[in-house]
Amino acid sequence: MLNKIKIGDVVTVAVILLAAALLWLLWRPGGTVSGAVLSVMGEKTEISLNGLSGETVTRTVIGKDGLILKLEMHGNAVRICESQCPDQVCVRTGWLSRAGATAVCVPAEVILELKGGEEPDALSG
Amino acid sequence: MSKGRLVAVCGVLTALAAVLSAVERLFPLPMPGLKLGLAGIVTMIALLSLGRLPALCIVICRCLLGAVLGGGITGLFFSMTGGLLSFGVMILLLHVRPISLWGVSMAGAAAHNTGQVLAAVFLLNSTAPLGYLPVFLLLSIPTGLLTAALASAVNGRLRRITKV
Repeated sequence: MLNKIKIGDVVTVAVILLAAALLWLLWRPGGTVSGAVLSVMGEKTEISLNGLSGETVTRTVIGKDGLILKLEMHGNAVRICESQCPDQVCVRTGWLSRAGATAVCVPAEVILELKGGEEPDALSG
Repeated sequence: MSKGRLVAVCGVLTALAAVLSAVERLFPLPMPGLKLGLAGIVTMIALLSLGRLPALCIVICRCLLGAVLGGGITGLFFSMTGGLLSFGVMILLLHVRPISLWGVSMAGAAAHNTGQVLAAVFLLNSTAPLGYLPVFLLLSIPTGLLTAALASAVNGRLRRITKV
């Protein structure tokens, strides 16, 4: 019952791989971290990560529908460590430590993004 | 097929799609936000055995049911964008001769994931979710293959029922 693989299938795989590779190259996180930007329902706040090397700092954010998220900052890394959202995607993203890395919580409309020092990210902004 | 039988088969497939979506929610994959897109199996089966219009109805009903069953309005927006985009891509590619069910299914899965990421981009008014797309696209290859294999297996058996 299964169909034979045709040339178009190979092209489909190639197109998907190419698109993935291109996007990955364009959005690859990297470079030195200069700080973090927290966006809550479209409102952006800068978070300074300087001088936090030894200690872990937490911060509570209230997002859309009153969903409460807890951020944790340690050294040059940040993460969303707790969230009241149903899918927990943002929590599972884990620690962000490279410039350009993001954690997104759609239900609460919260975006946490690490900003790079030298190379400004031309496409995300 | 009689109208009554068509409606009954549509109902069964919609229920199956809703169950698959619900099951999917119980097993979140290690990568953030990733879903297998198991409901795509049903879309594929419906397209193969019932045609476009019943398949479209099943996609829309599945999304609405998913919203009622816990996805909410945000979930509805996501599943609709993903579901309709992948449906559109699949009906287009089903008519392209050099592409078999495998390719159609992989392209459908890729379109589904792209649709969901675009929904997130639109909803958050930020391009940040695009960073997830490469992983989503890569995973649409195995998902699409799984969907094609299961859909063609089920379709063969379903034909025996619907042709009576």
